Amino acid sequence: MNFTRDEIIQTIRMVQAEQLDIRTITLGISLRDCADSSISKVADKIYDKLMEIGRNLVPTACQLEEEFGIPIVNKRISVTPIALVAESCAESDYTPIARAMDKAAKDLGIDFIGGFSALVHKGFTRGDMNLLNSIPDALSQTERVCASVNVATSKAGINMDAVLAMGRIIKEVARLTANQDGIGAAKLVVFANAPEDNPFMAGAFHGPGEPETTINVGISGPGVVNAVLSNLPKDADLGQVSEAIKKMAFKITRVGELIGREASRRLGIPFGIIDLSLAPTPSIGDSIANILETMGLERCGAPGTTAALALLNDAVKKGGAMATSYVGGLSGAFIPVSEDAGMIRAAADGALSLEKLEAMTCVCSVGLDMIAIPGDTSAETIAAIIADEMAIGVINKKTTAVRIIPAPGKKAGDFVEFGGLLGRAPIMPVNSFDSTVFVRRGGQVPPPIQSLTN
Amino acid sequence: MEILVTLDVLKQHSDKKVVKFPPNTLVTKEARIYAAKNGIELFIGDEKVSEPANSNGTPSVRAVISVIGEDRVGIIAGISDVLAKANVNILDITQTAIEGLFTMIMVVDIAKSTVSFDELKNQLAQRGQELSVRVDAQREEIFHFMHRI
Repeated sequence: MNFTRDEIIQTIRMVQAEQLDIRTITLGISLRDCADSSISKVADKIYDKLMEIGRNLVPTACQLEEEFGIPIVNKRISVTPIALVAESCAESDYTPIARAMDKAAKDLGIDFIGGFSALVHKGFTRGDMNLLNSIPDALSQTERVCASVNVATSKAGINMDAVLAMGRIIKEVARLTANQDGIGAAKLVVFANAPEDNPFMAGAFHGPGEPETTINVGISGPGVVNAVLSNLPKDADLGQVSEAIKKMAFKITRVGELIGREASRRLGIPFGIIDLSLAPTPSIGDSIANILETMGLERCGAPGTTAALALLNDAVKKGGAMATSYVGGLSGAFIPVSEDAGMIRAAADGALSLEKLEAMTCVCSVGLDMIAIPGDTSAETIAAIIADEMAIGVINKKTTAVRIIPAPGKKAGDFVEFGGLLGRAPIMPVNSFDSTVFVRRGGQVPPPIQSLTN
Repeated sequence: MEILVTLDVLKQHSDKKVVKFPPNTLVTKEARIYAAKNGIELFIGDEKVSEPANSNGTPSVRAVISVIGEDRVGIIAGISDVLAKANVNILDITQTAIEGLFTMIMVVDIAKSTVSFDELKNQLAQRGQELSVRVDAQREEIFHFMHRI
């Protein structure tokens, strides 16, 4: 036999008991050839192109699941930012395009489709403005469409007009989906330094520098890492902890690499990148918070959490980098609150605050993710929260993002239920002091001195 | 003359089996993957463009079958019976008890299998149910990728 019995059993245990899975295969499709002066024509062209290129994605993914015995949780599509595609339309409401994307996703059996997006880090074009204005209707009238807006980069600084606009848009999206606790806002991300090849939702889009089509793979596996750390002796030092995570990250990433290469071969579409991420799910045991707690913290959010997370994130990258030929996307541990049972518990117990989460985003991907806040939080306060997070990304030359849900009618301590991968979340209190004057100043925060690298 | 043959250029020739380009043309990786998938032969001048290297190597003809459950008479016989009927050759077999559970692992050759991999999996799962054990079949590459550099 080529492998030892223990190796085979380890793989089987990782899948069956420790929730090892591929989080997503994301098919990136360029829609730049779908432009037209009439919105209905653009919507038709987009629908037709998605149906043609995407038709084999779900069957192929199911085949791979069967043959290799690794679950593939989501099949997704990312497309060219719609602001670029729809800019030449005479109409200003882009909702018909979102509906066409949603219909294609449903007809193809795709879980999410991302790319109802605009890149406005240095200012707006007509297409960008129209897209931003269409986001509330688009997200409340569709199920599977995800939107993202890049409002800052390390090279351009922060577009504060866009930041304030996003504060208002997030409020409006939540209001329009109030009967589902504002779930629309869970499909909307505000980015700094958004990557072009990210396979994870809600922020996936197919960047302008990408080829016609590409396959990107996002891996998962916090449960596996947690299991290996649980088996370490309590007095193992942090070097040993890091070593154990690295080894496991290598194995997890190899699974993604294999699935990505096979999918690429079978679909005839080039393999783009592996996103080296530990993505949690709401199921018990599949939690980033639990890993930090296994390292020795009573609850996620206790002092020491940022250091533990930094160690975890670094070890995942070191182990994963050797396992794959191309790394991209967000690549880091995710800390979405509502999607992680351990985070939910920590937030409900009062161990984890918005401010601690903000600190944690300095050392991992991606940002303030899936956080529910009181429904009466003002658009200006949300904009200020976004500005803080964008500043962290811009100064540290990393991707940061905000996906925050002001749940209508809810106050701190209540719970919201989104269901499925989006999970459930306790409403976290927000600092009640006012930032209105600051965020209303608007304009562009200049790029930092670190950006002058040439 | 096309300096760079991209996917788009190739799609215009998608009805042909052989496409020739003038010498010194560059063909992108995307276009080569598309050609390989659709059985189009590419020539630059007189030279045939090689297919993109299959980065997984040749697809393996082996699979790993794992059986986990309570030990009882007839498990090996039952599973082997399914394999024999499908003309699947057993290359290696090992069994042990882990944490009180009977665990059997077989490495098999599926090259000459008379049924598809899907079908084989179904038959094994069904037999597993009759024997009250869990039977899984996975292509061998997954273990190779995870445990060997």
